[in-house]
Amino acid sequence: MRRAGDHASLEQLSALIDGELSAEERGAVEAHMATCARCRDDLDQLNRTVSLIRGLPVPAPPRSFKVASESRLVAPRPAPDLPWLRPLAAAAAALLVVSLAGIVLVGPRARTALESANAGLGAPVAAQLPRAPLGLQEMAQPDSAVTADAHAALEAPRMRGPAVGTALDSGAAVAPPATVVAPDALRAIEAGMATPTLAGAGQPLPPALGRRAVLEGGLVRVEQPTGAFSVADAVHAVVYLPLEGATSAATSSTYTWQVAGQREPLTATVPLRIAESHSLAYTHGCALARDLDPQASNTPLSLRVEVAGEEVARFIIRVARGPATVSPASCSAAGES
Amino acid sequence: MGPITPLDEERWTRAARGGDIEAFDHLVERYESMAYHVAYRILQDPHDAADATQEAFLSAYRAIGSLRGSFKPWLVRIVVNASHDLRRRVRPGRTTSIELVEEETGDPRWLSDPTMDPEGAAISLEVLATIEEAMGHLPEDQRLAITLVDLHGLTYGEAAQAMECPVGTVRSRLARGRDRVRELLITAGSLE
Repeated sequence: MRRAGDHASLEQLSALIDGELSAEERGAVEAHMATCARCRDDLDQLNRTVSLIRGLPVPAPPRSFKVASESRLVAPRPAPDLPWLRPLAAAAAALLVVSLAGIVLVGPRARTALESANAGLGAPVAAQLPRAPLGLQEMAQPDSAVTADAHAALEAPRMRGPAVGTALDSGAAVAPPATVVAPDALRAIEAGMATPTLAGAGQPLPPALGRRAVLEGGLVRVEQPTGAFSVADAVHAVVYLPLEGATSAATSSTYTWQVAGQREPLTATVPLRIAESHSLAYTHGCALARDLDPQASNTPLSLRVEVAGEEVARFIIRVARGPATVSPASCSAAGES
Repeated sequence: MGPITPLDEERWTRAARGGDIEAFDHLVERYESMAYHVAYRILQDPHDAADATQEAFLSAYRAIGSLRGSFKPWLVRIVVNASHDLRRRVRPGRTTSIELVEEETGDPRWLSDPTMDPEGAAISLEVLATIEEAMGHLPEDQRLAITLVDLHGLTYGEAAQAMECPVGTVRSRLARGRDRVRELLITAGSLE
């Protein structure tokens, strides 16, 4: 329907059908149509088209989407927030720390690599186990289930990147180095969530990460690889995510800890928590190193963190013999406010 | 349940903002069909659409405190975003240029969807197929505008809010989309 000259435009005819013309515009269009057979025909044709479109059936939803059954996982946020309006520039950052010793690893999120690493990973079939087996503790919510994956990831470990002594953020093509920060640093990051952000290139970093952290292409990178733990340590994993995309819709994260010599990993569901700044979501999971590798065999073990079915971080952990780097090793001593 | 009045909706929205999950579920019940359909029109896959719809409602519940204005366009906005997010996850690296949309949506899969009931349609299967094919070939923006205005009765203002664009853009997307459908109907002999 190409229209020109004095004729009513396609947009005008279309809006006329919907009663969405201003009184003035409508008057002009109707006055024109009174004398223009072509515009009347066009309107008639468009009208019939719209009637046919409006006769399209609407598919029935396959199920109910009520949220009450999910209420354990969700809670309205008290303050206004519009995560879906946030720019997509923010980067996810993952931190793996030894309790109180404060080894912090911050790695980039390599989405493409992550998703290829995810390919073929079946959804965990969770079998309920008694709470907190093997000392695995889930930090954030007392009633969260601790589950064991019936199909062990050991069958097809998809570990990438450097192996020995390196904790790395999942599947990233380039292993993110880590850095050691002061014990207070983690607490500062956690406590100071209201002000610092890990948003993106050009954004300020949490002061706690200090000069050893750099932003590169919107991703956080810090120095000095680590991932080796003492059998006496507690392994805390903190994953920070921008409040966008999947994160804005997700309500919980899943931590899947590979256990040395066992087929079944330990799986814990941890609620996503919103930082006071409302610019980040974060989750905090913890396991005792001795539960992950009782023999301290130094076997590389994966820790997979998923949000909304997407792997957002993966770490490789090794547990070796030796004195504790911290004392006491505990899953409740650090990181929680 | 009797007919739902705007007053009911206002009451539910207010209660939901206060954390009343049952009230929120009244809103879910009221709008889940629309939400699913919007997600379906964007993703053109029933499973993806269901996932996106669920994510959208959870997201909406978490963010209901930020709601200003009416629920419907606000919810559609969330559904659109959840659908886009899901598509990014499911099909990483794919963009939504017009060419790609056309390439991906050329097959009117909806017609073979078991949840569809063509018998209940007010138009013949042949015309239905033609319109579905035309819809499938439309750029997503135009398809969405038609879905919102023609199939779910949003005003231009509400559609603009839902699509985060000026009212004039809604008007133009709608006109172009309808015109494209009209052309296809004529080509198929379903419209004189």
